[in-house]
Amino acid sequence: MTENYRAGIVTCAKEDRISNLPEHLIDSILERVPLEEAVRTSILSKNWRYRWTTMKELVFDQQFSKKFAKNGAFGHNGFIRIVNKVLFFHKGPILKFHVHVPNMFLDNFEEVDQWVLFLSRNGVNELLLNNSNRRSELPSYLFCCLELTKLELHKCCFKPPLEFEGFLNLEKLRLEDIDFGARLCGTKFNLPQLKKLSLLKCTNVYNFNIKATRLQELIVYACHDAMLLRLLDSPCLLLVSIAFEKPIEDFVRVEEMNLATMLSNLSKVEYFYINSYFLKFLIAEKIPKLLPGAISSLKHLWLLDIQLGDLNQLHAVLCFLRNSPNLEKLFVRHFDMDPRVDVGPASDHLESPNCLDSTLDQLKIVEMTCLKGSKPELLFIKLLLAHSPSLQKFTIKPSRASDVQKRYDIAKEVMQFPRASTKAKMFFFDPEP
Amino acid sequence: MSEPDVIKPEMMKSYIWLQTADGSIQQVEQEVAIFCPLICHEIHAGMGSSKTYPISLPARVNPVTLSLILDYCRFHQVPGRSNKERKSFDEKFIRMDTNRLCELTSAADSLQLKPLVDLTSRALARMIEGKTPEEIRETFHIPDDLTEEEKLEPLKNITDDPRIRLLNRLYARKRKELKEKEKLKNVEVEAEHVDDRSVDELLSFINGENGESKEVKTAKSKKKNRRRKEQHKNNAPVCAISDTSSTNNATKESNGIGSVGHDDDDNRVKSRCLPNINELLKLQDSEDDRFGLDDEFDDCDIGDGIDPEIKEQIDREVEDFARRLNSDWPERVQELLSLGQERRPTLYSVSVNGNGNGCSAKFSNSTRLEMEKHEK
Repeated sequence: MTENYRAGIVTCAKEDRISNLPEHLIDSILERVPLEEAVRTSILSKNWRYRWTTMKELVFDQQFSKKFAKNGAFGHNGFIRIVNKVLFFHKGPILKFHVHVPNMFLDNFEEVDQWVLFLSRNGVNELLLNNSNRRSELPSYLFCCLELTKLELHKCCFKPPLEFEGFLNLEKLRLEDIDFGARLCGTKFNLPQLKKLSLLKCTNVYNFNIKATRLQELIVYACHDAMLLRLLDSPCLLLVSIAFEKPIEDFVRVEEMNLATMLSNLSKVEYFYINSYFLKFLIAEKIPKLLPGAISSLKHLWLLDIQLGDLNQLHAVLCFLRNSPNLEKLFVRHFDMDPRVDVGPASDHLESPNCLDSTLDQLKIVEMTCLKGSKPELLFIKLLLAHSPSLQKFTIKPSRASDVQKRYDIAKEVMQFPRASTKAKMFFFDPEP
Repeated sequence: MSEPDVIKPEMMKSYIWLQTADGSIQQVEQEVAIFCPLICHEIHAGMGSSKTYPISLPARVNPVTLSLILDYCRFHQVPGRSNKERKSFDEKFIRMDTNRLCELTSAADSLQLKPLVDLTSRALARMIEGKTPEEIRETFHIPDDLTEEEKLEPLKNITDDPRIRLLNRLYARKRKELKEKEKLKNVEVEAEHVDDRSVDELLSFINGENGESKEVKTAKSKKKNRRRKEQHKNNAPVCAISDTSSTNNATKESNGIGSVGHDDDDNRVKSRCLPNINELLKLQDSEDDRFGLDDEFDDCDIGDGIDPEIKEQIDREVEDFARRLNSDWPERVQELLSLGQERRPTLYSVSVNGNGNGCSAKFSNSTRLEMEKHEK
């Protein structure tokens, strides 16, 4: 090698250096290239003929699916055939496998099951099965993939075999549009390493029971029959995000839950995200003024689609603020009130002297978006400004639907409000187009 | 090197000694060098503090790449830089020729400097993505040493449109032809040999694997081979565009030339009128199969012997195509190339799959997006 360098750059210019890179480096280069191009490198030269076959990651992403979906499943160059071909040619362990099964006519998912079997024998660590067809039954082979650290499933029926106890290495689990079926009946799955759990739009979630003592993040979106208290029962929980999609009248409640119980379960939670449907669910019963214990760990609070003109929601928000002495960041996305609703009671409450009787000492950043400029909104801003001595940044974004005059009015009003913090900077942004 | 006697706090930088594989030793500021994990370990093990005990760097690190790596470290180890600054530095940093980039990747990997390995890998991946194999070979100086037989093996079909495939092939062959002509000027006769060899290999391949399940491939190769043999016999070029056997193509391409005589007649006609194209098309046979083979496999049902009717039809189509090509070659190239450009795989942002179930809440999607934004 030294001779080359003494000879200067000229000799290097014509050499084929890339083919001589160590295998793991070529793997990492090929993994950054779309899969069909990585496979295409097999016609570059003798050296490269089977170079792609040792790639540790196989990603058949959505772009790939779209491209090959039009060939049908089993047609020439059809999706299933291509995946089969790639798996056949591949050798060595496959650590990461992502497949988006496109929307095409499939009378059964036999091939997909076979892929999972193949992967389970190859020590797969990260598996993503996305499915645009009708719901499929998960193969039992999936539950043999015990080295899994990351699992993401879409549109399946989750039916593990009776003796399945849990994925002992799983750290991240995301289940979207999954039906847990009625058979589980309280089997507790042991997921000792699980750090992050996301359940989105799943059904029959009340059957899903896990033991995850290291769980740090929990996201539950539109799972209306989830047993939240059970899922929240984890000592390391740092981030909790719960949102419902439908108003409470539309579904049957499986759990007794109210604001107080909810918050008393969030002893270590630092990040809390909720939306208004869930909030309404929590406050269906009485809202306490002061909770039994303050949520001292809460640092970031995100309230999505809140209607400050609704007195109940307003009370709930104030309850949160009152009980979170260490809150550092507050984000509120507002949602329009029905114009027929009278916002008088809410405004009056906000103007009353002891509405928020504690100061938010640690509050540094506030962001409010989709504002329409109604009286409760403005009064809420005034309240926050007056009660946050450490405030550094306050951002306001009016709603897209408001006209220029309205935005101007909001800005004018907000400018007048007295501020408790000398360092507070106000930012007024135009809404995103 | 001795420390300066007057100790000024700003000047008090400690230096360490590094030795590359070729024996040369250099002195580097410690704060810069410890950005590399391997060097950091060595320092903690006690090496590198003096000229007599320098840290020996792995063989893959030569002085040129070492200085590049140290430039990288020097920039990035300063804590106060913004992400934007770092990104723009990185963009400028990786602008170098491909060989240097490969060496840099290798060297950074041996020093366990993962951020630089990621950066260079990404740059190399960008050079591969979206390029045709010829372009990739050119960029990286990879020798084109696969035999035609190896290229025949089924692989993924990348471009869909048969016309673009065809044209890509013709274009590639033309380029190759030009290159070979240049080589011929320098008294290299390899080009001829390639073709002959591949014919022999084809023969042995076909003869040796008669029992193969993929009948079509055999049949087609035989067909092609037959034509080649006729080529050599009659001394009249015969064109075989292999993917004309798929019916789609047939309807597209063929205009129906009235008189279809025997092969010989056709050949004579061709040899008189269309010498250039036939040269071209003769050479493009083998490359055909590299890209076009997948097409034939399962849809067609051609047995071992070729139906004379089909053969005639193929001849017709071949002639037609040759004629068209000859007449408007430049325009066609432009037109079809531009079509090919559009069809190149482009990265487009994946649209978020919205909730297709007709959810009642109109803000549900944005809520979910908001929540997912915070999923780490």
